[in-house]
Amino acid sequence: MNKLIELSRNKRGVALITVILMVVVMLILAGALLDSTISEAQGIGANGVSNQALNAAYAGLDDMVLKLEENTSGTNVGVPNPFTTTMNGDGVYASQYSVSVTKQWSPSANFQYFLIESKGTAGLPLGGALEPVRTVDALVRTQPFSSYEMYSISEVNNFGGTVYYTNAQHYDGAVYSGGPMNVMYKTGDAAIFGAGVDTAVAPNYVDPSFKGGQPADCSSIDGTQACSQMNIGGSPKALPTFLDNLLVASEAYYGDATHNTQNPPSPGVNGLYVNQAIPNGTNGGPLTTGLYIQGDVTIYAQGVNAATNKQFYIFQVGGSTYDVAIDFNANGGIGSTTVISPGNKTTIYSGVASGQPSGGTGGNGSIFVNGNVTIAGGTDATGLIGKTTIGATVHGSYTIGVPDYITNHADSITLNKSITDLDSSASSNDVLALWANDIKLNNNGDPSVDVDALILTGYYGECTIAQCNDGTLYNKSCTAASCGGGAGRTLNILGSLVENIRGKLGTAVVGQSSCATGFCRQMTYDQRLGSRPPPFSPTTNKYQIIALQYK
Amino acid sequence: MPTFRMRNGRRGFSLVELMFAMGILGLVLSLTLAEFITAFGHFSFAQTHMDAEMAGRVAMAKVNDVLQLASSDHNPADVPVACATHCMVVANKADPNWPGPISDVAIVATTTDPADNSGQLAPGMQTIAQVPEPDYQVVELKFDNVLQEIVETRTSYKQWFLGGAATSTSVIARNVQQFQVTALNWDAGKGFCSGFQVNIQSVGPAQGGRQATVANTSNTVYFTTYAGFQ
Repeated sequence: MNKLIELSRNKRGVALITVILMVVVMLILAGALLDSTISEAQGIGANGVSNQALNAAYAGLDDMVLKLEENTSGTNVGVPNPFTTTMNGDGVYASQYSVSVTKQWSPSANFQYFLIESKGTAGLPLGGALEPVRTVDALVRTQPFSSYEMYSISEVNNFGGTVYYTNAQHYDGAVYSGGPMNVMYKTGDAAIFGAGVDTAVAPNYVDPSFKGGQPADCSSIDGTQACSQMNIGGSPKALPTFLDNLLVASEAYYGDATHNTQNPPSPGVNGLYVNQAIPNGTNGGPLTTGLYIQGDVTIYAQGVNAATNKQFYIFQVGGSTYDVAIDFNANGGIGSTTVISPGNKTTIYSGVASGQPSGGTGGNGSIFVNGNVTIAGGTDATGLIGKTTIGATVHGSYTIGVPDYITNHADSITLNKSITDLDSSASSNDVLALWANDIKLNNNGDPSVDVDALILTGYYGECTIAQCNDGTLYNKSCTAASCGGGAGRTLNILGSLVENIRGKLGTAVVGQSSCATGFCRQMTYDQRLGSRPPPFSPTTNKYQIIALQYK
Repeated sequence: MPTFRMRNGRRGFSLVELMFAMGILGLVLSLTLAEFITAFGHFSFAQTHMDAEMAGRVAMAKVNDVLQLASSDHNPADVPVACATHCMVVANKADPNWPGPISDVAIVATTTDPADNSGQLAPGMQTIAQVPEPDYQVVELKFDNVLQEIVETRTSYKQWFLGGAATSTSVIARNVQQFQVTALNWDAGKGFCSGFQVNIQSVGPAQGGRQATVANTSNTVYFTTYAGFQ
């Protein structure tokens, strides 16, 4: 008993026990927190490394696209060899990508597709292989000029005047400008640019009182607060080359893409050439070329509905008239092209003079004219009589071009009337390109003119100062001071416009949306031109990612 | 007798001493307890907020992964059932004229259906007129405000327009209180935009006496594909 009393007195008080209990409780809490923190840190770390690997794979994709662009010369593409790049980053963590082109498709000389596979890894650079492996697969394609709604090298017009982008216009497709762009914005108005702008140099922003400087809110310019859709910088882009232009001539006369390094053929007799000869009533057979015209020509065009499924052209070359009927339903779907030549000689070819054939052989939609072109209107129901009172329509896919390169660009295309697609719905293949150094609008009568086409003007290397005065779409009745044709008229460009310098179409009063003289230009982008451009229309040396997956 | 002397040398506290000591100890313990309660409260709040932020980050990462793959359908075989043009964003079926922000967004992307071998992005993919044409699907992200989840469904392109069944359905984020997507430069007529502004409000759930907290996460997603120019 005495011993027990002694022991209890030796351990009197509760302070030590309390402290120990408190320490234990704190240790439990700290342990739980530490465990939770470690577990979350590991999760975040693993997720971070995985994301780093995915970013590396994306970087590899960008690198390969860049190499494809560097290896592109004209329509020739050198496919880069597979390569691996390691990035040491901050010296602690590293990432690496291995990238290769796993497949190439070449449906035509100027339209290429590549499948790129890029594998990214990340982790610590020391002590073994990087992991995990993340893979990005991408399908890339040469970018056609027609992926832009508006593409101009210079912002000077053909009279040397300043051209403004204003809120009276709206660009619902992408815009490229060599710059400097002059943007006159009016705060509170709808945005001028709806799908972004690429421009080489900073634009000049002014309000209607010509007060300069980028506004605090760019909503009326590009729909963003900070003009973030105005992509400024990068290398200036170029216009199509003579190789691109002569590709259309080569396909129209020879039916292949191999004669685009020489001047277009110049047969001694003016007229329409099919399969390298003027149709004479006996020389039909399979159509192997497009349509080639020697000499100045007036064109009437008329598409007829899907049930009839035909396209009529009348080509007046001097005193000779060629009636062409393209029947898409004939020959069990193969189609036929019938030509009635002077002297009422009928020649029938199997195959249609429309579209861009796969593999580059067979009839195609290139219509090349070694001379001047006038688009004069439609036809009557028979397709045999030209009608200057109605607009031209096209059913099918065509590129109408004239020579446009440094040594030969005097010929032009003149538009007397509207020219539109018969069917411009998403599923339709009715698309048109007009290609000349100068395309002239010659209409002072109609209140509005529609041009539903990819309009290509100007060539690579053409000078960009006002004195050049060409490489443009312009109103023939304009002078430096004003334009003919009265006020309030509209030119509807339902497609894409590529220009060297900006052509004058009309005049406007600052702050007013309708034009004082000539045409106000209204642009509506045709999205089909980006993915299914007209036959043999040119492509840039850029590539666009059109499909993407990651693993 | 030496034992007795020791007892006298180690005599106990008086009752007053003991009560005084216990009073001081009680005071110290109550102050400590108050500190513990405050600290635990902060810890709980931080923990639930961290849970909410973590949930938000994870949800945003998954939403980004889906939305940045938006592409336009280039396969001509799909066009007859498509919207006005080659849409890359088909918004929601109930409101094609998407004003945004909305909590039900559907994008077009290349197929991930394992049963569709020829439609995958691969060297052996199908071609039409020598042009590679992968198959496309519609990936829809839809907010379930009852279960507070973001649900992803994948449906073949044609079936989506025809009201067909999804090929896969999965929950990509839980504990989400709000999910809003606004299109940047949206063109309703063409179904195109340049990217999305995404806002997610996530919840750190109440548990073990903790109060629920919310965290807001925002991000802008621009498309990797050249979608705006198609």
